[in-house]
Amino acid sequence: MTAKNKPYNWFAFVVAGAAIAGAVTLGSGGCSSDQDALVVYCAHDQVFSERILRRFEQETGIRVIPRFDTEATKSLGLTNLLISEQKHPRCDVFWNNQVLGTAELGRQGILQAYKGVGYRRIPEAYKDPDGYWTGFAARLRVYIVNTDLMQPTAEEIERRFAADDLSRIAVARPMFGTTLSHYSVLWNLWKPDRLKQWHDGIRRREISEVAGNSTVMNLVAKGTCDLGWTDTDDFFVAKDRGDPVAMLPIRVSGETICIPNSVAIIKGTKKLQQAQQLVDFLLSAETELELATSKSRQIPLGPVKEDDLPPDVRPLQKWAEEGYDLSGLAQSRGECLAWLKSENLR
Amino acid sequence: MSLMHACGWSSLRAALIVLAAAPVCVLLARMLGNKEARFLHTGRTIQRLTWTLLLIPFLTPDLLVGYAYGNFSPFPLVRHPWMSELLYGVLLWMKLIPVGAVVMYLTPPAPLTAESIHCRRLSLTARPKTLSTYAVRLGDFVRGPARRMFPALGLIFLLAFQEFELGALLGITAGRVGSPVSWTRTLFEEQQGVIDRLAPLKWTVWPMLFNLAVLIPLIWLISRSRHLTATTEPSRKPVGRIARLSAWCYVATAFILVTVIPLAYVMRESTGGYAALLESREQLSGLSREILVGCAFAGVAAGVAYLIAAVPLIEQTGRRGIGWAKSCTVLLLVPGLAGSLIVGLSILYLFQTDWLNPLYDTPASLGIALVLFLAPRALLLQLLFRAVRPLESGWLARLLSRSTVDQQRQAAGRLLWSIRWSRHYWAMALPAIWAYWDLTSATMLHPSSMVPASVRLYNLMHYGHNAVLSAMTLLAVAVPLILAWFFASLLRPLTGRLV
Repeated sequence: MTAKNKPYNWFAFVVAGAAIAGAVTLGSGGCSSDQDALVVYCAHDQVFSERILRRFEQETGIRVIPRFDTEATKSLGLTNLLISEQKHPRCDVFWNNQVLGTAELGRQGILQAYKGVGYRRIPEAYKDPDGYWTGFAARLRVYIVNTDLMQPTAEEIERRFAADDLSRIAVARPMFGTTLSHYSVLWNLWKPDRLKQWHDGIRRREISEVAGNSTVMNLVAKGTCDLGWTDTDDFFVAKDRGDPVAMLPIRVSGETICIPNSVAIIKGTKKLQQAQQLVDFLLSAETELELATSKSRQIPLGPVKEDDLPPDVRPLQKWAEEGYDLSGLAQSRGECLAWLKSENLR
Repeated sequence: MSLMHACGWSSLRAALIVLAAAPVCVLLARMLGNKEARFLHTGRTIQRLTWTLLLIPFLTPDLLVGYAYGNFSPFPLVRHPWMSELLYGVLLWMKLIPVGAVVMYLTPPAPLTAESIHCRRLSLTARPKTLSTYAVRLGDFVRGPARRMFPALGLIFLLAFQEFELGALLGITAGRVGSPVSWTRTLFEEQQGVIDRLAPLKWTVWPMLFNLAVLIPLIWLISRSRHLTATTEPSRKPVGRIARLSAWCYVATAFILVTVIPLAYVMRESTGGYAALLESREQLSGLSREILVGCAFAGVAAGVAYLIAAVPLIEQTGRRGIGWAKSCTVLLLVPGLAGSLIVGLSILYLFQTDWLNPLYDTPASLGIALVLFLAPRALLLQLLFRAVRPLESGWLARLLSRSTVDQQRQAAGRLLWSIRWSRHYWAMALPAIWAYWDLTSATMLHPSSMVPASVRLYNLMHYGHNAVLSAMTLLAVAVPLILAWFFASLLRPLTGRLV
């Protein structure tokens, strides 16, 4: 060994040693203590769902490892991941922030049926008859309006949507999240041709398509746009900040669009009992009330004491009762998504 | 827009950024190489200031810049897509110029000097101007000044073409006429609703072709320039006043736009967030863990990538197996050239197969993806750092290191650190910072129990701004920088003891 090479050697030795030590640390951190934990894929907003999962951990002693989705890819990212992991699932419980994606997973045989105590307290309209998934704690699709810029009335909204320039109206990209569910309802109700025509029309008039519902809310709250489509939980973020906003429920043929969260057990889980415990926990009145009293103001679907509900949620419950039936829309969602993809990637 | 068109659009954007960056890079590289300044105290101070101000915008994480400009903007970006494209282009241009300038500065001089080109031109003036005359001139340009520019500009092109995070946070979307488009976004959208696990890999063919069109000549040039470099550094033209002023204008504007405004905005917003973050122990411990996870992944990946990249650079000593080792490592360097999205998708697919599935939810998948992503960058950095051969001072420091006096040996060690080893350290630290902020692979491949900080922050950033999130972002930015500085100051005296 020459003197010239010596410093190279010690440097390489230090680097290799550090790399091995780091790799061992990472390996032991990732493999040892987490074997018994319940892996939960969660498409619901991290800021709200994390607290509930921690409470479950405290009450049951079962460790939960959540994997969250990003706002921009809401639910589709995790749904795709679950499909790709079908042969070797690592997820035990899927907490989706809507139902149609979960129903699609059920159709593909990825879910395990379970009808526990939680399932029994949820109305029929919001759960799979075979128990593959169960809905809870819903949101509504709403118009969010900047009250400094326009009157929050149905007539004014209709007038704005009829205008030639829609650049001051914001919607989230319809390929993702609850906007996809919204489009799926329109696909089913209006039939494809009318939806396509309408969609072409709003795009031609340059409606502002943005990454997600929270971006829509921010744009309207700051006055960059006058109005937009969003969900009730995003609306309340702006309202709590003191932004000049108001909301009106979106109605299609007189019915509102009520989108519950859904929970399902993944087929092949090795922690079935713990998974069932978590499902029952999420479907309990306590969790629905916690989500109702949280900043997201989710609407309970099962029976809860009305006095316990915050004032903001009570009117939402009435609107939710007028919700469009989403139970048979899994096929519409698939067709609608295929069309939207062909539109965007043309 | 189809993936092919999106690739075309992204490459057009990258090419325009390269064109706009080239003159500024040349100017800055000349400023950085100003030898006269090294002998003047004020000159040295200005040089240090130039280096600092130049590099900080590049090292400012995309997540921070995107977070600041994404939701807060004086322009209604969403209603004017061209503004969004312009802002994105300008920010990318400003962020990538330092890379080009530094690479240009470090690239060894071409074998064809300005004097020889001038002599050739004089000899050509007597001849009639034909196509072959122009071909000779072009050849001279390619072998001469362009040789120093191509690696830098090629790297800028690749980084601009593969950029993802900044665009995503700035709301780069497709759909409307004139909307900014990026192939990464289009590829991501192609995946929605697709059950075939192999499909995403098939779609990566187009971006790969665009990458390879730049990479192959770039690698060839870099490998050639190791053997074809001038033995002496040619004297560089002094930088004129107007040119110097223009360069300083760029440096100041980039520093303000890319670093000061986002940082000041996030800092101002974070004032109420620290107390809330400290109160919420759960959130603080979660963030600390995620920052450490991110640092651990980044550190390990950068270390391994450094070692892999060093193998092809080993001088042939006739030892058996060296040739094989070199060939194998060269193969490991290829995948990362396609960028982190393509690497991430490929690793995801591989780890979902029956063979590798036992390792699917372990740190291995993300670790391997990061190593593959970093390896070619590490090689490039090492090539560049090694190309700057130690001058006489390096030889003198080595002589001093053989002294029998301990203090002298330690002083020699510290000198060698500055002259030689600090380059190796930064050849690892820089990729580590890249890996720490690489969101694409981390989002797809992180084990369920190990979430790097970038993933959580990116997720939360889509909800808009708040004080706690801003405080979390600043902490996530500060910790790896403090660690990099800490290790540098730890290794510096250590070199003195080990020499």
